[in-house]
Amino acid sequence: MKAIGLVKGPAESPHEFTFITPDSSKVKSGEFVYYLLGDKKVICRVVKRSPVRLYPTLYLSNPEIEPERILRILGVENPEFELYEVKAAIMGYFDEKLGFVNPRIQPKAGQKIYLAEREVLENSLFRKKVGEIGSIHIGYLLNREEDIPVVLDAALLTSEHMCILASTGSGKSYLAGVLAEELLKPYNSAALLIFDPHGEYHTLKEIEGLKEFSSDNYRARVRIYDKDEIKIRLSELEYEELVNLLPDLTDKQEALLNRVYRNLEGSYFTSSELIEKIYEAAGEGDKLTAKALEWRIMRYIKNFEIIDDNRHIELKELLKPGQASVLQLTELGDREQETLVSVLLKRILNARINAEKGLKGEKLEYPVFIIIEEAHRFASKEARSYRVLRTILSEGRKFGVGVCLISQRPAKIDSDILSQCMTQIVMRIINPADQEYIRKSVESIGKDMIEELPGLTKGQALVSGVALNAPVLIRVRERLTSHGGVSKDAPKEWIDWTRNYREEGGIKKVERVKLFWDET
Amino acid sequence: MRVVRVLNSKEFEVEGELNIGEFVKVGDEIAVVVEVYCEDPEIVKYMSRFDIEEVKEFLPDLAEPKNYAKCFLLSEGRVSVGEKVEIAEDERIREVHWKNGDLYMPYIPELVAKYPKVAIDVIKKLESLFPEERDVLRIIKAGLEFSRIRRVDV
Repeated sequence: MKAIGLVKGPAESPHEFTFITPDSSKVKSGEFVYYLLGDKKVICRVVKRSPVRLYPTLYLSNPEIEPERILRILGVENPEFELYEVKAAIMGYFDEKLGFVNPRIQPKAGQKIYLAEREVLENSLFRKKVGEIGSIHIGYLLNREEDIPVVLDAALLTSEHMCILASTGSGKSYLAGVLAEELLKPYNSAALLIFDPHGEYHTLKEIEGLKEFSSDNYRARVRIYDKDEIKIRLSELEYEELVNLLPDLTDKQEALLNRVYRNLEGSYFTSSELIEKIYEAAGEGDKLTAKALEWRIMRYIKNFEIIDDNRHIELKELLKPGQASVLQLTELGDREQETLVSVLLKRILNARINAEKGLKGEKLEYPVFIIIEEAHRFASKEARSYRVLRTILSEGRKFGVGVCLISQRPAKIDSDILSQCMTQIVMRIINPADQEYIRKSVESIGKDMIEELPGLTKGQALVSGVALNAPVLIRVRERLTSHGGVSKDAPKEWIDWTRNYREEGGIKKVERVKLFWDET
Repeated sequence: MRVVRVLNSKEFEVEGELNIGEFVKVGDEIAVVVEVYCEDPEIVKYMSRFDIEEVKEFLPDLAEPKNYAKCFLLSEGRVSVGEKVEIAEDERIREVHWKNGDLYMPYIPELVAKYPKVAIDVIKKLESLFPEERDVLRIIKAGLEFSRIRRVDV
């Protein structure tokens, strides 16, 4: 145990202090160090490091001449230029029952500071070990050369909701893939549902062929649902959802529809039966209104491909332990996507409530976890799915419905929803409005942590919240399955395309696939 | 020229006519002239004008004002009163300023603190003696010049 620095004195706030270190490489921003208080190791996080003394600007004017050389010429061999003043925030000593306990005593000036050893970090920062039941190994500590695994508590992560927030291209889908992989390993066997608006998660299917995802009596499954398999039964729509699908209803039309729908609510009906009931309720006096409603139902509901009179996705097929179901929303319009998310989430929540409370109706006997990509589209106040999402985020924990919201525009997600995500993974975010929004909405991320966000590179993230004991900077582990969200290599595709060109009479034509009659 | 007074470990006085910024050699040591002044002999302070005129008739140079030069030692050694002082040759100045294959002028911080203008003159001289090191000397000189004007509200 070798000291890396000595305490200089208190910093601005009561839980911070500064220490001086001659080491320029080990003490990075976000690193964990400790000082001794009796036999307890008081763990602190490095918030900021800055050189004690800067070179005069003029000494940096010629890139060919090193400033150290100028100092040597002038006979200055003062190591002051090699010293760093480091600001550290006291997290506390770790207690198995209480977590981090701040001793409320700053270290004395001159006291030794040590770099936290691997076992200190593993025992204090994380609640689980790699491979343990209910563990999620998402990556490694960013600041260490050696691989110190970052392990999250799957139970807390899946029940108390989480979010992955990052700019485009920061690797959030990749990270979500890692998360899905971990949840499908035998030590979690999760019931997982993924709303996939960009078709990035189909590669999870590879899981079925990998030995990491099977054990003696377990084998993870991945089901990919495309547009044709995704169906919502008309009678499952709530009145508001139905109205939302029918634009420009007059007051008269809406009143008639409301009357009919309230009578049918809770029962199974088809669109023809709905129309029939509308005509019945309208009578001769309101026939024109009924006709207009019929036209709208035929025009909009019938054309809404995911809405079906009879078929709907069976929840027990969609969600079962050890299976990930990927709903590919690529070919669905925005309104269809929102309606689907809203209806399915509502069904899932009701099924869980029914199972937990022993009520009648559709039931899911096990907790479920739902990953929602492009969450700002579904979790903004204007979205159709907003209400049900807000309910799940605030009450889902009790019924075992966990949600992971993934978004590149966190400022568009309602703050009530975002603040309910108790584990946060934030990757590179440059937009100051988004940074500020995260700071306001997410309690566990402090100002000094927010400042780290623009400096993160692809695959690096800040993880905080209930699934671990203290916020950490991580590098995401490599995926076992391939990444489905890789950007297109446009120049390569252009070159491939032009190679398949041939010129014919001055006009370029693309080589078509040879057919059998070409060979004769 | 001889050393007439040793003021401290770095400074001494020479009787003789020298110019500010000139390099002198005292034994193996090298120094730079930082101040020059002219002073009446001590004896004159205790004599009347009539007496001075009378003494001048017998010993003309006794009562004449004398030139002194305050020098700042650039090398690490010491000087003693009575040591012979000569104008330093360029070769010797180069030798003193070259150590371990690089320029070496550890006296600059102390010289700048007391005689900033002379420090700049010294670097100018070194620029002519070490043309290949002009870039680094320019940076040091610019640093000194900047620190001088920083104190002046221009």
